Amino acid sequence: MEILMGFFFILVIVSAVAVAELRDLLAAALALGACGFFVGILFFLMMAPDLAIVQLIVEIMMVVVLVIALARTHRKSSEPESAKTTLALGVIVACVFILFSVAVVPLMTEFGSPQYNPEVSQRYIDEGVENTGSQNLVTAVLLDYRAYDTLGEIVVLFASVLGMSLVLRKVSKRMAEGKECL
Amino acid sequence: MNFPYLAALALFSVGLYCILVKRDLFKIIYGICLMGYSINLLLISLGYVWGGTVPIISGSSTAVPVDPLLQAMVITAIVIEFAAVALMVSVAIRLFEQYRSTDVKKIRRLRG
Repeated sequence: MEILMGFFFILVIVSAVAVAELRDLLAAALALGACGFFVGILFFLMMAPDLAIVQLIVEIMMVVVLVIALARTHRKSSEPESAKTTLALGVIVACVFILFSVAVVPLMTEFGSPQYNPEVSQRYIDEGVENTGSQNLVTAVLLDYRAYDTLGEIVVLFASVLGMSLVLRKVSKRMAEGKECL
Repeated sequence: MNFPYLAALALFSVGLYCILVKRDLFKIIYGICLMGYSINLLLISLGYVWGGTVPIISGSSTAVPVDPLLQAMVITAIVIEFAAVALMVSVAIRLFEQYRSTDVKKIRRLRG
């Protein structure tokens, strides 16, 4: 299991590098889809099947949205920053990565041995079935213990749809001719 | 062995590099997606237990389930991230219609 997880983590990072470096935006969008699918498989390996299903569906939707957007714009990526700036920023990001992996990761709890919060997670596991009647603890948390959180999520989704319809609405000819559009 | 944390950190670094170095609006959106994936992976690996089972209680099994709270939170995060990306993509389409380019250096009116 450990080797399988490591293999998929490597695949995720390889496809992420492909997303960053491909010059064709459509190919980069497909690489992003591959990255999301590998993340979904990792969720499945880490015992989160609900999450894997959601991740796969959202990933398919994301690729569809990106392909539609690229069909309405163009495929070729614009030039990146100059070589000198790229090198400097890359060195800074690499330094941040090394700093965090040396200073922060050793302080975290060992992978695979979490300390459950007795007030929250442990209580959900012990009393979840009695309190909510749902055998699936994830849906018990989503729809019963933290239902207001889910309500907030739906409000955010609604706001996003509203914003999209506002941004992508047909502009009247008078507005399109004037300079003050956008 | 903390390799999942390191892998999530590496994925976050790739996303950050993509945002900082690339000048294409779509590349910046892809970088934000990658950073979102890395955070979701980090949260799920924080709740994983070796030999743990899926958090579905069936009958009177005594196996230890993995943390259900983090999974519920990450589901919310995935859906919200998708909504945010869709909104960003629609703004990028609008900017392209206005400026005929997705290069952030050429979109002059957004300069600070």
